[in-house]
Amino acid sequence: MALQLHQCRAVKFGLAVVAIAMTTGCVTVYQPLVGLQRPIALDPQTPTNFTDNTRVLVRCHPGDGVEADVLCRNVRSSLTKQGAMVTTEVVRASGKVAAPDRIETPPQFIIDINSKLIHHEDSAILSLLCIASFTLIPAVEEWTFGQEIRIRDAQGFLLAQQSFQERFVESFGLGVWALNGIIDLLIRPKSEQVTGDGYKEEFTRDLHGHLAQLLYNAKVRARVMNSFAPEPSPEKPKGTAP
Amino acid sequence: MSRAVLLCALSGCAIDTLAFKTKAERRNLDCQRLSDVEAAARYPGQVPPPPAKELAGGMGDVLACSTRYLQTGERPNRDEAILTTLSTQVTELADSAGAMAPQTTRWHVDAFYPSLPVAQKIAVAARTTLAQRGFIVSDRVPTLAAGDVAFLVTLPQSEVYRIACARSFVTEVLGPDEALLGLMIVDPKETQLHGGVCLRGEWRWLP
Amino acid sequence: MRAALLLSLVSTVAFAQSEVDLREKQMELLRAEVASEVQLQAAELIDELVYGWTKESPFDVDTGVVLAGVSVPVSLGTGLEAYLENHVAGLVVKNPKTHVQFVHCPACSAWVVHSGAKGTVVTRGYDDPEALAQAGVSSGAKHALFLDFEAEGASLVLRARITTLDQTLRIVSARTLTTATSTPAMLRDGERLTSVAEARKEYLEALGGRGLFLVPVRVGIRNYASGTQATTNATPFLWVSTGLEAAFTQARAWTASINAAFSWLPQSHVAVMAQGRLSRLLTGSATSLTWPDLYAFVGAGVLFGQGRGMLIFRTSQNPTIDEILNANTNNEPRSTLGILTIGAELRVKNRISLIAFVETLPALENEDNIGTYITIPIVGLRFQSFGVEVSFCF
Repeated sequence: MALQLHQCRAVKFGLAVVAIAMTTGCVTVYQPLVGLQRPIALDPQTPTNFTDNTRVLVRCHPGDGVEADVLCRNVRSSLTKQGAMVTTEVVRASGKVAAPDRIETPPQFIIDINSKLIHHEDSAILSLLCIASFTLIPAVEEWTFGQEIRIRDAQGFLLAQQSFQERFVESFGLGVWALNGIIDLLIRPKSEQVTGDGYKEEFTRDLHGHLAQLLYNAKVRARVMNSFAPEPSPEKPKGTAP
Repeated sequence: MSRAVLLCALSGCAIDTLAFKTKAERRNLDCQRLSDVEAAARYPGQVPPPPAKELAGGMGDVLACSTRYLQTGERPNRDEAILTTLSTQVTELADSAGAMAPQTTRWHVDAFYPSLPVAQKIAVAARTTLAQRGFIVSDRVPTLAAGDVAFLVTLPQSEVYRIACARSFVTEVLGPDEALLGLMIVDPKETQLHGGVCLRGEWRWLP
Repeated sequence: MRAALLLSLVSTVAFAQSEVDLREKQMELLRAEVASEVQLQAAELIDELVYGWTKESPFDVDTGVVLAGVSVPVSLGTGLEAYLENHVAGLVVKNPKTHVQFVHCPACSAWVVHSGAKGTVVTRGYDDPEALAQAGVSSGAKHALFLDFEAEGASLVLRARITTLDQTLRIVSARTLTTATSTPAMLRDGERLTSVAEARKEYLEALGGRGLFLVPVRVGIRNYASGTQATTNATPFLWVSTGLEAAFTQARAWTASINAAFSWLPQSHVAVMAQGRLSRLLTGSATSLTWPDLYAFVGAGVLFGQGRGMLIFRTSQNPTIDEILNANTNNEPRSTLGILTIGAELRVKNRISLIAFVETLPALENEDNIGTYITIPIVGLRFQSFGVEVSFCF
């Protein structure tokens, strides 16, 4: 009876270890490929980058593996923190806009973000080995995403455009997670750690930083194109109270 | 491509030690995806020709990465951002400028940038591009009198170039068949160059 | 447990404090690497520029030109400038077809102050040839060459221009050349400049000229583990072998070889062996021209030997001392064995390699004449022999 209980506990412990490995045993590394690794001159943490009545419409287009509404929401949050007035539109695959924000004043700048999955790779052999070795041998999956960003003024004139590409390599397995966890704990400084969600923060920081820089460049270009003329005050839609 | 050593032996691949590279090393690469055929043509000693990969059962593309000459942080961010895209930006501006004046115009180029070494690089790039396009380009930079310069630095961005251009023509610093291509940044937080052409006393911004 | 955790926290803090030092050291190392890479690529660009001049000279006749200035990428040091000046001067001297003759003019690069009706102007000499002429300083040169290098991301860009040394300072020749860190420098000979296409063709021929077939000649030794019951141990066998190795592709990622080996020890044994091996490259998908290559291989073979030294391989019974000492030379013991091999080979430029391997003799699986070096528990495979070889490939 005691032996059966002990065996039962051992099995439960083993299952728990496997369950933990399956939920936490991922090490994801982010590598900027095109554009995102270049430096920017703007500090996206500054709340006064776009305070002079900058009105922006962000249009997120759908793509494989990309949640356009989440992207739009995050971009709006980032630009709003920098002082811009942001409205968003999520463009569905059919070309229609899903529940656009109510626009009271027309935007000065329109940002179109097209995202797509460029490359995806995983190995069936490694996945099988991972299962057979109880995740000691890691299963590796890789994604490469691309973003095409265009910024136009209200008349449709192209002010700025840029392409970005980034790569995420996810290694799943108790072995790789434990090894990197130990290295993170003992050797790597906090900014270099690979376990956890640090890759998401790094990518978000890069993308939002470059987006802000691109918008700033577009804003300056618009000023130059208008010969530094002061921007006219936005026309209120008819019927609204002054 | 991340594979265990054992799998490299079976399927043919390069070991990718991305997790064990520092963040600086990962960010110090410019990468692009190439097809097997293109990669084998460009890097014959490093990428096997496609039949070998097919023999080993592998099909895919190649991620070709080049190390940037200078790491991020070696130069100020704005300087690095502008120098990294110098050829592209200057070529676009030079092409636009060349279309704004007759072919017989003699071009002068000057760059207005807070860092003198970078300003010189911008000016040299523009001069070389214009000369390669077949335009008549002079290495001489037209300079106004010291008194004019002292007054111009007090003017706002929106006026300084227009007035400097008019003054250059009036004082015959620039002749009627000469043009000045000016390259500058307008805001300290931007990473793009603007250009303008001064021709017969009239300043026009480049689109 | 708590002490270990505290220790790890302390070590983390200590590592964090030295993070700045570590980064600075990393930057220093990277700067050294960058400097040598920039030097090679910059020289490569100058080679291409001068080669272009040999094909299409900027001048019709030999013309005196002042090397007015070489500027290097922003934030790199000036040591590179001196190297590049020497390099371009040397190339021009070796290639008279360029019609460019460098002229010495120290005043041209010196600062001059020129006062006139319009004011006082401070410039370098080549920017104000009029001032130089008024000062009576003349090199006789009518042109100046400027070389400007800049690092634009992963590309190094050379902008070369030749200007007239007169009031107009007109640019008479301009060229922009670019290269990337991923493109190896062609390292062309200064006296026999070739185009990039020709240099690349030579490079490809060097790669392809390696051929698919090699003749390896190996010298090695095989040692056998001591048995548990035998009163004697097997002597190490010294082997000399040769054969043929074939690669499936130019990449040499997979190779196969067959070889015949011979071993002889006076009053002990004479043996021959035939073996085949299949190797796979581990260090990449193609062999390297600059780094050693590591292969893993598996092999199978047959060994036939004759002599007292082969008694140890007898399967029926353990050899005795009397048998070994009193062996009749007319009826020497013989043995034929199958061998399975796994090993690794470190090869340099397909010329010389070091091989280490272990072997199993299936026929002696259950015998205790010979012991075991390694046992693989799951499959119960015993490796009774360990060997090393040095191989020369022709």
